[in-house]
Amino acid sequence: MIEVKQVSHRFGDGSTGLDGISLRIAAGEFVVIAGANGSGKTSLLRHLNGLLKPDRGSVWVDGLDVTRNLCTARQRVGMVFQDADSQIVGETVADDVAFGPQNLGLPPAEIERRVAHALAVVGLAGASQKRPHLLSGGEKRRLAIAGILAMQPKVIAFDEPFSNLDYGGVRQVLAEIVRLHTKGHTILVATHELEKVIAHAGRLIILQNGRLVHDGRPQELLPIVERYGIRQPWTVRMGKKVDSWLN
Amino acid sequence: MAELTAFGYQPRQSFLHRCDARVKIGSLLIVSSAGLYARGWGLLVLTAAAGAAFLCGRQPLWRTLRELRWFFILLAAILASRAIFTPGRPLVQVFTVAVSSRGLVDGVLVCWRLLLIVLSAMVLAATTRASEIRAAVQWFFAPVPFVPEKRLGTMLGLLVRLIPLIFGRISEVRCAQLARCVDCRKNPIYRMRVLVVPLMERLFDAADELVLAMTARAYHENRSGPLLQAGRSDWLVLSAIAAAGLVAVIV
Repeated sequence: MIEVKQVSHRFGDGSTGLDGISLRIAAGEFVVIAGANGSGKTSLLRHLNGLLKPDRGSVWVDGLDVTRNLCTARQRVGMVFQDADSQIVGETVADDVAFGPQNLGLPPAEIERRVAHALAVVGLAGASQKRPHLLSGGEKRRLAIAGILAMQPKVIAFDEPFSNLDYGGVRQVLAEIVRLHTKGHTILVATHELEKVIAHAGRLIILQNGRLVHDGRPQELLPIVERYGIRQPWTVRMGKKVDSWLN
Repeated sequence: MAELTAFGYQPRQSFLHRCDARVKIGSLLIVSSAGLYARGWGLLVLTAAAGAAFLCGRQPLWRTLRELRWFFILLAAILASRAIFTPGRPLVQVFTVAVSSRGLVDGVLVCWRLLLIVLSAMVLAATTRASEIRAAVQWFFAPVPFVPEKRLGTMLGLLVRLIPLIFGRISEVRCAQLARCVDCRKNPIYRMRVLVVPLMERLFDAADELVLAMTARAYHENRSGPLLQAGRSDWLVLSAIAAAGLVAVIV
């Protein structure tokens, strides 16, 4: 479904964002992309829907070259940003969710239907007329998810979805991510906080200095993650199996 | 940011919230233009119309007045300067400073007009979604040649969206600096400089993030917007405001 072929990206200041990354992600996978700060997690996610364009290599979604099919790529690969506040564009919760469908040029009745459905899915139906900035951190993150869901993407990429959230907020967002995966969405989570999500992932990709250094099953890679500046889940340190934060 | 609600859209169920955005913008233009020519009784008529709109929009009076406190200080400064510097028969004289009756009347009228315009604009902002304002602006400018109406609408929508963000960032930076005793520094230029530089950096970052988030959600100019529909009640409102504007100018 997603194919990244030898992608390299350099930023304006000459620093390396990504360096020769290749990977394939099949439909329905739950992938965690881990790495220390500056390892290239966000850059990789932003290449998947054309927010960043590769200097070398190419990114393909459903057989379409992302750089030549930007609108389709952005509809198919939804992205939830790290700072939920900065991605709110609507003045009410419902307005914000409607932003994406409006960009797709959908008729008003369909927009209304999608907004109502997306808000119901994330449990914010009762808050549709609230001002987004007055929501809690966890609710804002769920609103960001609803905004993406209303565009009906197949893939949802989360960039550090648990940052700045309290325990309750983390559980709300994690439950939402897991539920979306069980509904059939392909899930990509970029994070350095493995402990919160790894119990649900089927694949772990480790980045370091813009390069893909490991790609495999979490059970195989968790014993070595600390070499790359990623903290091991405490249960692994204690020699136990990883445990879900939803338990 | 919650403190700034009077300057932004406030979701409520009211007649004015349901009113067509074009009618509301048209009414604001009528009230503002008529206010520039009206005096005494005319301004009273327009104020009554704005007051009625304020009530219809179910706006919180005390909170609005509280949030306008800095504006009232500006009005007081305008009134004082008009009263002192306009020539005429002195009403009160303290040493060389004289307050003229003509200056006082002129000052009151100028302040009244400004307050009327600001209150009317606040009612519009509080009862109309940015997307509706954007659609109305596009509608107004669509027949004008060489004006990119969609881009204009987008710019307006972004401006409305960024205002609470700017105030929020100012508050954050200010709090962080107060926590490090910036108020111990008495030099206002130094305090202004240390506030403005990080604030601008943060604002540019926030604007970049917003652009990225909009792009990620497939933003483009030819998007579907809200349907603008003016019904009978909308036309009645516009007619009433137009009549009030005419009366205000004539009397």
